[in-house]
This record gives sequence, C-alpha cells and structure tokens, in this order.
Amino acid sequence: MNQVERIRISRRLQRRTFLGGVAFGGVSILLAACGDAMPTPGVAPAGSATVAATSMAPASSPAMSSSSASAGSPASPTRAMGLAGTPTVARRTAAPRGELRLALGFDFPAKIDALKDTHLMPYGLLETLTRQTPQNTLEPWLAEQVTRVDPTTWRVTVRQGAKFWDGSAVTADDIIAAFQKNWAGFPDAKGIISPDTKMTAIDQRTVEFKTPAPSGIFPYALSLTLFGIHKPSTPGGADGGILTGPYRATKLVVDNELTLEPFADHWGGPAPIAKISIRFVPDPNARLLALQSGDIDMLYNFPPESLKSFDSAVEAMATPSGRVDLINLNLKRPPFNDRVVREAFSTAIDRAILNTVGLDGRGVPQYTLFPTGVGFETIPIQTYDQAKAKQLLESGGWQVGADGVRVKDGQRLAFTLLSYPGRAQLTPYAVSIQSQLKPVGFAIEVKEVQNVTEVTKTGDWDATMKSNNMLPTGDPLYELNRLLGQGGGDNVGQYVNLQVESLLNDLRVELDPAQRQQLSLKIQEIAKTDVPDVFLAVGPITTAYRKGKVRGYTPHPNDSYLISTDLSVS
Amino acid sequence: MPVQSRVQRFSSWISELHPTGRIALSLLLCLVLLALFGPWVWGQGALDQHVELRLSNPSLHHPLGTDSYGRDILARLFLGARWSLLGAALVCAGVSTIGFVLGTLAAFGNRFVDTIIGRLIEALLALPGLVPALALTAILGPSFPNLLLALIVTSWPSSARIFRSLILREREAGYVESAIALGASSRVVIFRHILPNIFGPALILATANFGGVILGLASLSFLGLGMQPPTPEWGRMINDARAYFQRYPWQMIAPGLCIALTVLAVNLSGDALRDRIAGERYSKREMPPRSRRAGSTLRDVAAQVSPLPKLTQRAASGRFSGTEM
Amino acid sequence: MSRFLIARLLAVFPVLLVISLLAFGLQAITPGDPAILLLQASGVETITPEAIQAKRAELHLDDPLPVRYTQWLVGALHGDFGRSFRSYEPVTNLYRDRIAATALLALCAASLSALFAIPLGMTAAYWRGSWLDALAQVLAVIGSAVPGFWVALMGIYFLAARLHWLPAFGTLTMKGVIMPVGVLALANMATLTRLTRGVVLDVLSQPFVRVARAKGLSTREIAIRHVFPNTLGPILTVLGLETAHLMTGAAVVEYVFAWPGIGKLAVDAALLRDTPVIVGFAIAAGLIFVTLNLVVDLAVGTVDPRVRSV
Repeated sequence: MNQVERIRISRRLQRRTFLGGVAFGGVSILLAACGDAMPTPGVAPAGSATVAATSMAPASSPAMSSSSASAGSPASPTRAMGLAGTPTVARRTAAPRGELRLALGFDFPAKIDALKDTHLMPYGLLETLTRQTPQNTLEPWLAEQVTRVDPTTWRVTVRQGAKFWDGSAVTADDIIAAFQKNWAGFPDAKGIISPDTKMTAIDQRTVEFKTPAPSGIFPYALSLTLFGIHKPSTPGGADGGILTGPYRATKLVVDNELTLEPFADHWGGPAPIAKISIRFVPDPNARLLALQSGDIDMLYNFPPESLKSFDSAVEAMATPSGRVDLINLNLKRPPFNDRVVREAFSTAIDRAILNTVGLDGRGVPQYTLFPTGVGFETIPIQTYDQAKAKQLLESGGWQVGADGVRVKDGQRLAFTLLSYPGRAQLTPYAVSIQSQLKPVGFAIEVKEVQNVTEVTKTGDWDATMKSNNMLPTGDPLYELNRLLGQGGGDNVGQYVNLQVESLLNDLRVELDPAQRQQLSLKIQEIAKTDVPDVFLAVGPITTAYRKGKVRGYTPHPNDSYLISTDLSVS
Repeated sequence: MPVQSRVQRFSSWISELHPTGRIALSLLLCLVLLALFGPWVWGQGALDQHVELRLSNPSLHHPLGTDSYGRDILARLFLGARWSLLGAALVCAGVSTIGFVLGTLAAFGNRFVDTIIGRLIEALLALPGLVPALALTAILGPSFPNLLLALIVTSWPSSARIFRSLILREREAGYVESAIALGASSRVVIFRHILPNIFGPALILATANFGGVILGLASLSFLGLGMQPPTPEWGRMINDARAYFQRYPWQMIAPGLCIALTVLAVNLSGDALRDRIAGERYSKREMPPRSRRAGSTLRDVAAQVSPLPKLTQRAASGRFSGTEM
Repeated sequence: MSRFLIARLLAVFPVLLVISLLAFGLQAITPGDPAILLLQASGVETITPEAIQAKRAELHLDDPLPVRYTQWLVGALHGDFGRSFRSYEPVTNLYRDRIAATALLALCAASLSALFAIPLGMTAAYWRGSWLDALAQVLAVIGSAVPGFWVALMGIYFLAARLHWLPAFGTLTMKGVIMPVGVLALANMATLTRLTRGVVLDVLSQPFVRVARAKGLSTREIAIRHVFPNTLGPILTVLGLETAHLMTGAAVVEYVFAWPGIGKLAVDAALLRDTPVIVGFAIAAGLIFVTLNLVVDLAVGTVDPRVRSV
C-alpha cells in the first residue's frame, strides 16, 4: 500500500472512529448533559467510548459526570458539563524494561523547567490537567474530573495518587501555585484563561476556578503546555523543575542528549520503558540513516520524501497533522499593506506544486484556515487562479513594467520572502513560489535565516514562511486569537480588524460548542476578504520505527504528544 | 616588445612546466571557460523549474538529471562554478589587498605600529579556520557578499605576515635604499619600487590560498550561510541534495566532485607555477640567507605557502588546509 | 631550558590578550540587546523595561566599552564567560562538558594520520621519484582538495546507509568514532605526508648527510642516525599544530556527524548568533592553540637543543 493511500485511509479511519465516537458516546452524553444533539465534529468535550477503545492511557476511561443540574438550553446558566476520568486507576504493575532510542531535530528541551521550556510535554515529562486524544477530543489527564458548576465556575479534581517527582502528592494548592506561575511566566496564557480568575482550594484535591466571564475554552485550555502542572525544585523557588510526568530526566546535555527513566510513583504506575535516550541530531538525513542502520529505534517528523527510502525492517507512516504551513504577511508596509496585492499573491500560488516540491506529495494543499478532517469547521477562503490574480492586480492599478515586474505609483511589486531551515519544506515552498509568481509580475527574493522571529520582531520584513500548530487545544479560539487577534502570538503581521476582535470576544464567552464553530466560521469569512495570511499546505506527521521493537504507538495529529505510557519496547 | 614574442615567451615558459602542472592548468582553464560560457552554451536554465520532471534520472536532455524542483543539475553546476570561482577570486584579492596595506604599514610604520599589527596577526593565526568566519557571517546576516567579507576579514593575517617580510626585505635592498637616499617619498618607494618587485610572489601567495578559499566558501554555503536560494552554489547544492541523496546520490556526488576537481586543479597549478618561479629565481644556486625575522625570500614564501615547517614561523601556514573542513 | 620556558610562557599572554580583545569586539558589534536576549533565554516571557534596565546594570552594559572590557576580562579570568543566549547555561559548563569528546576525536585523528603519514612521507622523500613517492603525492593532493564535509556525507551514505557497518552519526563508542576520525585523518594525512616529505628532503640536502654518505655509511644507518633525529623536531611541531587545528577546526565535520564536541557547539552557536558561546569558542581555541604550541616547543626543545638558543 503506498503512503498516499495510507494517509487517506488513516484519515478516513480517523473520521470514522471520531464520528463513531460521537455517535456512541458523544451524542448521548451531549444529549444528556447539554440537551442539544449537535454532533459537531471536534468539539465533543469528552473522549467517551471512542477514547476508551483506542485510548493511549489504559488508566482513563472517561465518562461525563453531570453533577448538579439537569439538561437545559445551551445558554442555561444552570447547565453543568465536564469531564471525568475513573477515579480508581488500574495501575501498571509490570516492571519497566528495554531501551528506546530516539533522535530529534528540533524542539529539543533546553532545561527541565516547565516555566522556561515549553517542549517538555512530548517527552512524557510534563502533564496538564486535560489532554487531547489522537481523535482530537478532550479527556482528563492529571485531573480526574473537570466539572462546570455554572458558566463561570469550574471545578477541577486532581487524580487520586497523583504525585510529583519528589514523591509529594499533587494538592489543590500546588495547582493554584502552578497556575499563578504560568500566568506570570507566559503572557500568552493570560489571553486564554483570564489571570483574574479566582482560585480556591475546595478540598485537598479540588480547585474551584471562578472566571470573570464565561469561558468556553476553559477545559481545552487546561490541555495547553502553558498550563502544565509543576512545582519549584526548592521550596519557594521560582522555577518549575519538579513535574509529574511518567518519565523523568536523568541526564540532559543541551542540544545533544536527553535520557529518561520511568517515574515509579506515577499515578498510572511505572511507565513501560526502562530507559529512553533521545539524541539531538539536527540533520534530517543523519537521523534517517541512524534509523536505517539501527542506531535509533524511532524517528519522528522527518521529511516525507524520505518515506521511500526505508526497507522492510522499518514501519513508516504519514498521518494527518494539525500543523499548517503558511505565509505571514507584514500588513504594516508595502506591498502587503495593499489588500489587492495580498489577495492576488494568495490566488497566484498553486498549492499542489508546493505539496509536490516540499512534501513529495504527501501533504494536503490547503485553501482553508484550519486543516480539514481534524474536527474543526472550516471553509475554503483562498483559491488558486493565476488569471484571476493577474486581473486583480490590473484592476488594482498594478501594471506590468518593462522588466516584467508590476509597478504602481513608482512602487515595484518586489519583496523578500523569509524562510528558515528548521522545517525542511518551507524553503522549497519559497523557491517554488518565487518561480511560480514571476510570470504574474512579482519579483521575490528568498532569504533563509535561522530564526525568523528575530527578524519579524524588528518590523523590517515583508513576508515570512511559517509553520503553525493549529490545534494545540482542540478548540478554534486559541489559534484564531493567536493568528488574527490583535497582539496575538502568531499575528506577526499585525493584522487588526475590529470586527474580528468583537467576534473573538464573543467566542471567548460562548459556551455552546456548535455556536463556537459558527463564530469561528464568521471569523474565517473575514479572513477570506482581508487575506492577512496565505495558507499553503498541511504536512503529514511522519513517524517511523523499527518493526518488532516499538509497540503501542498511536499517531497523534498534535505534535505535543509523542511519548505516551502506551509506548513500549520489546 | 611585440605581442608575438610575448606569447611565444609565455608558451615556452608554460611548456617548461611540470607535465602535471600543465594538465592542471589546462583543467583550470577549462573550468574557467565552463564557468564563463557554460550557462550560455548549455541552453537549459539553471533556475527554470519543471515540476513534472522533478527528480528525473540522467537523460540526453538532462545529463545529470534534475533536482527536486525539476531544475537541470548540469546547468546549476555551470552557474555554480561561476560563483565559486568568482567568490574565491574576490576573497583572494581582498586578502591580498589587506595583507599588502597592513604589511606595508608594519614594514614602514614605526615600531609601535609594527608591534600592534604583529600581535594582531599572531592572535588571529591562533584562531582556527572557519569558525570565526562562520560567526561573523551569522552576525552580519547570511548572504554571499557577507560571506566573502567574513572570509576576507578572518584570513588576511597569513598574507599580511608574508607581505610584511617581503616588503622588509625589498626595503633593505640596495636600489630602494638609494631611492630613499635620493629623497623619494614613501609612497613613491612603495608603489614604484617595491610593489612591482613583490608582485610575482604576491600572486603566488594569492593563488596558493585560492583552493582553500573555494573549500571554505563551499563549507559555509553548505551550512546555509552563503548564496541564498535559488542561486546555485556548489556547497549549497550539496546541502540541498541531502534529503534526496539516498535515492538520487549523484545530486550530491556531482557538486562534491566539482569542488574537489577545481581545488585539485588550482592547487596543482599553483604548485607548478610556484616551483617554476622559484626555480627561475634561484637557478644560480644562490641560497637565500636564513635570518630569523626578515629572512623572507621568495623561497621562504614558497615554503610558508606550501607550507613547509619553519620552527619560528609556523603558525602562518595551513589556514585553509583540509583539516578545517 | 628554564629561561626558554619562561620566555615561551611570557609570549603566550599578548596573544591571549589580543584574542580576548577581538572576542569582546565581536560581542560588541553583534546586533540585539544582550540584556533582552539573556532575559528571553532565562525564560522570562514578559520583558519589562525595568527588567531590561536591571539586567543591563547587572551586565554593566551602560558602562563605557573599556570599563566593560575590563569587567568582562576579570570575569573571564575567574572562568566566567557569561551565559548562553539560548540555553542560559554558563558558557564554561558548555565547553567543559564537550571538550573531552573533541579531544578524543582530535587525538585519534592525529595519531591515525601520524601513523600513516610520517612513514609514508619519509619513505617518499627517501626514494624520491619512486612509486611510493607518487602515491604519497597523489594522496596529499587529493586529501587536501576534497571537502571534508562531503567525504563525511559520502561515508555516511556508503558505510552507514548502504552497508550498515557504522553508525550514521557520531556516538562515543568504538564504532561511532571510526567514521569521524577517518574523515578528519584523511585530510590531516594529506598535509602531514606533504610536510614530512618536505622536511626529510630538506634534511637530506644538508651537508652532514653528504658527509655521512661520503664516509660510506649505509643508507639505513644514515636514515636512523642522521636523518630521523633531525626531522623529529619539525615533524613534532607540525603534528602539534595539526592537533591544535583538529581540536578547533573540525567544526563542520563535527556538525555533520552530530559529534558532541566543541566544534559543533560553536557551529550551532554561530548559526543562531549565540555570541557568548562564540566568544567562549574563540577563547577556548586560543587557549588550546597556545597550550599545544607550548607543549610542542618544550618537546622540540628537548629533542633539538639548537632551538633553545633561538
């Protein structure tokens, strides 16, 4: 079976299991809890039956707990909803064994400190209160239960037996302290859950969050790395060095290697692998060869064109991801302060060629804001039509000059497109776009820098290639806010539209999942006209491992989850 | 002198070269011609993308196949040769100019200036090959001109050092001393008398570094600090081919061989020319004095460049020897 | 001997001082505010003007350059080279953790190349014009013309990917060392063969060799008694220099093999403009160079008394 087929099948499978999940559990639960049967893909707050069947953690078989109120209208303040894991956990008892050797090329941890490094979650070091399942639904994780008491009140109960690496139990006070530090440490965190939220310890394990306004994203936001649970390595310390994950670091040499061992007192029991060694190998080719020669057992996020190079000893797969490759445009200066130029630019790019050149045809050309098929409502907002692009420019006053480059009022249609080598597909896209857009009348200079953020911060740039994880929370608000909201972390082009701002505000307080998707669609409609960013393609998540050695691997569309307790070696 | 006899003299001079040297020189000439006219003669565009033909095997139309964008690899190699040779030539010229200026300053300036320049040279020679150039390019921002600049800034010391001793030696020569005695200004002495006399050795010095500079350029471009895409450059082509080289190894082998062949041709030609000139000067069995400081004769230049070890002057050599890659 | 030693030791300081000045200069011309970069590296995401001001005061960034240099130098003398802009690790620790891996690589490569190159260079010079000489010349010429990073990639392709003999990236194991050492030794061998040959030829042209020949000593005796001792000094010198170059100049090869050494650290730092680490590299390289130089000088001084009088 070739890889393209595999992607299609896995995507089909995903949708099928997902819809199945909604039909099985989600719908009934939604009916029971919310009183409206709207199986909108991707917003079922509970993992339900599907999750139990395919879940990563055998410990959790989540079920809804509808604690206080009966069914009501979506806006009903008395309605209760939430997530719950089974309090009694079937702990793993088997002794950990074997060694797993991995090589990674980016997002390598620099410090075991949740406040200083946001790359700890993929390695099983950091845990959050909730997490996303591979089916892009939400389930409790370090929390046993997340309950909405009323639209602004949430109760989170920590799992029985949850412990920090130092052996102390995770208490409600620890959660409160961790949240306070997260707000102080991550400005982005403040935009998602208001720092004015009042937190009270109800009992040893339960925290009550009282948000200033209703917050629809709350349970999803708990799954963000930014709201990880940690405690200082010395009492009263400012760091977040003690975590709760199933694995803990025994050795970390920056930019070189990380060694993990199971945390014996983890709430789920000791993790199955006795030793995990992770090497940092920035060269994708060397990583690939290392897997082929058996020096490592597993490889993650390698360039898709390498899929053809593996022999039969390697199991390789490309699965849909939530990572979108796009171009951020600088709206503060010419030529992209002209809306017509932005639309023409987007319309002139043939994404299918980009998919071929950058992803060896393994990805999906993208004309929508969110990736399709991962549970978000999304509509095509961009197209490819070179004739239309030319026509747009003509009508916008951009005339072809003597050298084939369009000119308007003495301003040439020339700009620099930044790229970076960290994600292998981006520079090929840029080089292809440069060549594709030449006949349309664009003069593009491609420039590869190591760190684009450094450049975009200065304001002295025109357009930059980017790769964004669109589903870190499983809720549309997070990325819409980051990408299109004023001052959002990914909004480097400084796009501001008051209508979008007001819709984002509506989205923040909207509790009904279906309504949330509708608001998201309205925002996407505006982005269709304004074209603040150009969406290009969704690359697959590529994983390869040695057959017979690695077991229990489930691909996850969100690259925040890599090493789970389901993973074992033989 | 009639042109005819000049050409004749030159050709007879060339024919007296070592056969390896002659072969290397003709190879180098071929490479230069290919770099100059190759892209023009070979009709394929080095930048034309034909996605439908991407990663195709060698064929009559594309003798070396196409890369991941469907661009003709042969055409890219031709264009890449241009940048490699031009870049190395510019770096060598820059290094020689700085070397000449600072060498002159050290030789003609007072003791203080001499000491300062001397210390600077010594310290820079203690810094290893490519990393300072790498750091400087990264700080200036990756681009081809910046890369050339960084290579010049970090590799002038060995050249300045040799220029200094060359100039010192010439200054002590009788004709210069008489010129000074006749009241010639320093400028006249430097440009009228010394420069023409050290021109030959200076040229040798520059060519001796040429091969090393090509390797340095390729290494830094390989790291992504040189020519920006889509312009082809050999080092960058090797880097771009890495993702595909398990299935299309020639995409990486070809530019690597081009670099090796060019450096080989340059080094061998340089050796042959150096031997030829050194032989000419000292054919009369006149052995230069082995003084420690200013004892720089042409042979010493050849020695430092080749580089033969000198107990007291050894750091000068081998800045771009292969070990640094 | 002790006067020679003291003279050599004293000559080291100006070199190190100039290197420190250059390194500091590099730091000064790097764009970007070190205070902001360090705050970011330390994990502070909201950077307030007050925090920047405090950091600038802590780093003495608002002082005049000479004062800053002095302060930096005093810190450096105490082993404090600041912290990385990326990992916030102290620069000294970064180098301390990696120097052993680099030294291992350099020493192995130097020994391997010496083992082959010195005998080859000697025999090539001795039987000048023979097939051995031709072989030596070819090796020397090719070894110095082929880009090391390319040989490394080719080695990875054939020996690791195709034949599965060796690991594809550098690991601190017997097998993992072979390829990086081999690649480095290849280029080093070229230089060393060429130099050894030159040195021996030089000695062979000396009058005392002619005298020895005239005395009727056998070729072997001349080689062992007269030629070899006289070539030892220059060869040691070259070997020392080449080892220094291997320690500090193997950066790109280290990078290709992901070898956990100081060269790779420096390349990574340079690519990401992590100036404190780059500066640390310049200092480390300078130290390594002068130390090895000193060691070589002493060794040569021991084997060749003529040097001491110079």
